Amino acid sequence: MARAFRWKKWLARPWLYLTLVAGLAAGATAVRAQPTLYWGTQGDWVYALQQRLYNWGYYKGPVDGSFGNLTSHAVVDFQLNNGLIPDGIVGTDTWQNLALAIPGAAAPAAAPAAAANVSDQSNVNLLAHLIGGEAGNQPFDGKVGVGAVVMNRLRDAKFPRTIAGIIYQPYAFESVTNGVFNNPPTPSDVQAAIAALSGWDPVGGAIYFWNPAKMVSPWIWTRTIITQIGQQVFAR
Amino acid sequence: MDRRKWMVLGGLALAAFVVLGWWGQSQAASRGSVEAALTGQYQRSFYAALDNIQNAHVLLGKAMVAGDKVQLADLFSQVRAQAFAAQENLTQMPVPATVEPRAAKFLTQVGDFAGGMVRRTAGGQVLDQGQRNTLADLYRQSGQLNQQLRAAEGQSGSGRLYLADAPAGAKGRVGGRGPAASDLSGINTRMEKYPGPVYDGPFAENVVRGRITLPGPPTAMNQLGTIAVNFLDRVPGVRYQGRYTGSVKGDLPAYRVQVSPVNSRADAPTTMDIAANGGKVVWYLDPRAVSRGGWIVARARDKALSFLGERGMGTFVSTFHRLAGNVAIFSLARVEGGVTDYARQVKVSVALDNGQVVGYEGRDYLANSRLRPANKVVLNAAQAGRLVKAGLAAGPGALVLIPDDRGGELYAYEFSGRQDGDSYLVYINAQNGKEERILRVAPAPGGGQVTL
Repeated sequence: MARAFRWKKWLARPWLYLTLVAGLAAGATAVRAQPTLYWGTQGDWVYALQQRLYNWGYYKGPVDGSFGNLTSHAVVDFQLNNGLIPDGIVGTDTWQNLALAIPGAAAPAAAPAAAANVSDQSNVNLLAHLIGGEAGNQPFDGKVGVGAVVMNRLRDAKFPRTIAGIIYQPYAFESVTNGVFNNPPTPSDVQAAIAALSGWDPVGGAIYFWNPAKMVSPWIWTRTIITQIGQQVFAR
Repeated sequence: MDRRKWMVLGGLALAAFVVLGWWGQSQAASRGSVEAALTGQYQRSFYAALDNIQNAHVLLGKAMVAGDKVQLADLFSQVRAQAFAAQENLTQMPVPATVEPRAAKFLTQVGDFAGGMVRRTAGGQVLDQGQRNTLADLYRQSGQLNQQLRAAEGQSGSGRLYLADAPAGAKGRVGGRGPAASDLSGINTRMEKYPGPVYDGPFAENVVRGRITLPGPPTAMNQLGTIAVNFLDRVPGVRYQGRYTGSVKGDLPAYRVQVSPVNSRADAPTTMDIAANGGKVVWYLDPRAVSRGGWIVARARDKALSFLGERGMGTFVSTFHRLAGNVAIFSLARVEGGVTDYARQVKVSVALDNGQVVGYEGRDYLANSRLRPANKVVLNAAQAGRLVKAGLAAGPGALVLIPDDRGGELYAYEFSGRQDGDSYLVYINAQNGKEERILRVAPAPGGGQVTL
């Protein structure tokens, strides 16, 4: 008769727990260890990346664990073919499309998840909506000009201290008052918003703008006009 | 028969009248409730502003009598919070932008001054005589503002300050009058008489960016086209022509030029500003749509650097980039004698379809070209590194120049480090070891990074 398996004795062995703890720790490390790769990075993850790109026909260079020009071009080709942003950087999206992302890796990695929540996306959105509402049919520099007016107001003590405060200040912008602001912005509006956020100011520090063909308050004509772009004049 | 016909018609008319009356009544009721909710929101902003201003006034008074530096730092940090909250609440009132700007500006400056005093007192210094005078001025003026707003509140109690009426008189973007507008406009007129406080801070009158005249002779009008075409990142084989379209009377006087290809088609001309003095390009934007990618960021970065080099602008280093669709926007700082100067940055945007530079922004670079550092390099990188929070700094510090709050620049050591997986840049004053600034590096939506 076979000897009964002695559960209690087996469970009492300390090495078992050590192995389990070590295994879990290794698992945890694996979950956390999926770095962002770019030109110049090295190591096992670059190895895995090159191997996968080689197998899929994107990469023709040596699989050497070193992220150089060939790897970078292969990543960009892969990204272009998969509708990703072709920036040559292997981040979460690219890892997932390479089917090399570890399932659930993004969620437990608390720090990168937190980092992804910190951005100026809401400001880009607000500015793009305003540009669409106020200058949707104006030339590109006129669009950037509307964004620059908001950025110039941020530097002016008379106006609210946040982009949201400036845009939603009652009666500050006609498109916010009449709701046109809520229409979805075009890619060109978004691009103009990013240009304004990045510092382009085609309106020389202007803090007001209006369309002279429309009826506006007489007060506005007391302002010093700086320039005109498209149908709008910009003033201080 | 006739009578029956009239009765039916009369009945129908009565029914229509009742239905219309009911509809009108429900419309009026719903309008009334929306208006009441909106008025409630506006009244809340007004009363919150009232509280914030009174609190700031009382706290400024306490700061005048406080003798302990820790107490002072605490009081000033409360003043800053109350003043900024008051500014936010006041600027969200439904009055035209023309009405309350002076009060809003005053409150920003109170918060700004208090912030400077927090740093000073927390650093162990007391207020000097000039700062005491400013404090006394701000105390007096905040008292007057408080009094005037209280008077407006009295009218509100008697039904005069009915904020939801303001928009009725305020059609259009600015201007107009309503009961609330006229009350607050009176406050604005009275406040216009106060002089602005004198102090060092980003919103102080003496620091706010004013008109900049660049060095060099006036730019010759007949040279504008040539300057523009030479600066543009031209597509090989295409001939361009620049055309003057007007003057820009902004803080940096400039001429506007539009550049278009002569022998090729373009969506719209590239717009460019050329400084009225010295003939330097201030910015340009090519509005063409970039619908495809292809270039990697590293290659585009090299292109941005060579674009500046070819235009004789000296050595630059790329500090950050972000993606806007298929355009990469690079921030590039001037390097002189191995020192990166963040006060002299340009932005270059590169189309990722063919690597053409489709945008250039050099206003701050030109405006800050004559800045001289306000401090000296006394510490070395290792000494500065010991002042960074233990465990944060990775790698040696680099000597850089950073813009300060007073419109100047400072020598500092830049250290990059990580905390809980997040990236930071820490700047240590190269003369006195003060931690001048901490920037958080975050991913930009769409790709690249932004600093917060």
